[in-house]
Amino acid sequence: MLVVKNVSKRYGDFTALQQINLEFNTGLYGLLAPNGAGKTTLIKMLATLITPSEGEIYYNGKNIIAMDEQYRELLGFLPQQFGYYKNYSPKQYMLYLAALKGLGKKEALRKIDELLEKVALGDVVNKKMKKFSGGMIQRVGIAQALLNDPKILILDEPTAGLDPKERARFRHLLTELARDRLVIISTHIVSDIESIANEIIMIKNKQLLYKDSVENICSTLKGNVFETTVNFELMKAFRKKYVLLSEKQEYGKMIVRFIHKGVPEVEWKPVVPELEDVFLYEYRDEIEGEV
Amino acid sequence: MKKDQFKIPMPDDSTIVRQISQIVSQGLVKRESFSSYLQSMVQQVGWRHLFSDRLELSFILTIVIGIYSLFLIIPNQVEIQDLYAFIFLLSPILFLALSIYTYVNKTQNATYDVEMACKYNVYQVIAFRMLAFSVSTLILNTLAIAFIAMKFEEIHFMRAFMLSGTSLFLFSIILLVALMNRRTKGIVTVTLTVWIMGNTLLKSANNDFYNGVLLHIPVIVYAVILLCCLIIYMNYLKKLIVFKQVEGVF
Ligand SMILES: Nc1ncnc2c1ncn2[C@@H]1O[C@H](COP(=O)(O)OP(=O)(O)OP(=O)(O)O)[C@@H](O)[C@H]1O
Ligand SMILES: [Mg+2]
Repeated sequence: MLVVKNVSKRYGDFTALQQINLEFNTGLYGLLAPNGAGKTTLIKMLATLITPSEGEIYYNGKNIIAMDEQYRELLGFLPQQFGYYKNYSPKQYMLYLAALKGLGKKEALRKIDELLEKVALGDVVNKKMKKFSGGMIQRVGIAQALLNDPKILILDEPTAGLDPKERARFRHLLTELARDRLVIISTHIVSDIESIANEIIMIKNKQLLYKDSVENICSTLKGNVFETTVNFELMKAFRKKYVLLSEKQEYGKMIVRFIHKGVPEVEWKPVVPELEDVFLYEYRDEIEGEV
Repeated sequence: MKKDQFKIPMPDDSTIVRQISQIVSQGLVKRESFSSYLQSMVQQVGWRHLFSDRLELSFILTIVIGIYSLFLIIPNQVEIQDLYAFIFLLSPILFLALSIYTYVNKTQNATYDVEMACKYNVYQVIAFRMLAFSVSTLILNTLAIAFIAMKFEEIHFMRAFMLSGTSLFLFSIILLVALMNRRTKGIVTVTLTVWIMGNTLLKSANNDFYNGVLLHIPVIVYAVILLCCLIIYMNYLKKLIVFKQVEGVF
């Protein structure tokens, strides 16, 4: 359906993405990568906000930039920073956006009520948005992306600022939406997508690292993830030797989860790798560099 | 105007009008889709949403009308060429104020990303508005010129009108080119400065030439220049409609 072909993006001298090839079909795709990896860059190209420096993106064989408004009619988009007019109510803002999307007023009004209900903002439709909390604004953002019943729904970090209850509701909504359309969401929070995404896309060093199901991605670390307890005094040496995934204290000892490729020691308990393990392992240099 | 040294036969006003409409209708054949595009834009989006910041726009309009009304209190003993020069210099001012406000407001607003992903995106709305602004500026200028022509008998309405129209569309083209080629916000200031400085320099440095251009070029020549400007302007507006910021992430 949507094909990214040999796409690179440069900002001046800086290369943000290099030679990306991807293919999307109906379903839910999770774009998972750390800060600055180029998620927003890829997403903005998919939404035609910026054009690739090299390569093309096709929708059903047609270049999306050449398709122009034909493509935008199919598109629902939530940017990472969802801008709004302070003095507008969600209803006013969505009416405005619906008009820009070419929807008739009657249809728009019906759709707006339905969508705001769906994101649990039914009682504040006429309240000015400057009085909204961050999470409420984010939910308006999610609702407006659905206004034109898009065939392609692209959301850049939609769960930022949502509480656990809203996150759960949102995951449910996404699963429902992804049944008959293409949904692409970016995030660096593994739990947001691990249970619902059909495929995960990971970007590393400006290039595509994985585009696969959660199961297949996790199996790349099969037999390499272990848990064991370590004395405090030995922790320093242990950290140097292995790639640590997590550590927690218990009864004066540390329980650590780590990666080892090679022959394991007897007291180590092998565990099933999870998506978070792969994330921490693959981006270990970048993550340690940030700390 | 006895010293008219150009010996070009002057067609009368009705001939001019007829010729203009003929050239326009021929020149605009290919743009049929553009006008119907604009039409469907009005139908689907509606004036209300196309001019969502009406309050700010009417504020600008009021200020500019205030500036225009200064023309009514100018002393009666004023040089004709100065009046023409002022008309030439000031004609684009309403268009400029409204367009720049719109451009900066739309492209720098936090809602840019959201609006860019809509069927009618930021640049299409800007292009539409600029067209509307140039039409309203033209109307307002015509009114102002009619007043001036009534007050100063030496001012030819037709000449002043052509001069003002040429100035408006010439400037519009310069602004559009500047907006589309440079992404810096400073470009607007530069365009404006170049326009004012250019006019002032021409006026002071080579007074005879400038006055000659303003006073003695036959109206028909202005009509042709005006028409060319109009066509180029429409072409640039069309380009703005499919315009893409290449580097874009602000
Ligand atoms: N307009 C720009 N000009 C120059 N460099 C840019 C621009 N936009 C992004 N970059 C750079 O491109 C890289 C990728 O940025 P991008 O915003 O795509 O990352 P991201 O994965 O979305 O990060 P985050 O999780 O923080 O949102 C970063 O190194 C960033 O500094
Ligand atoms: Mg981002």
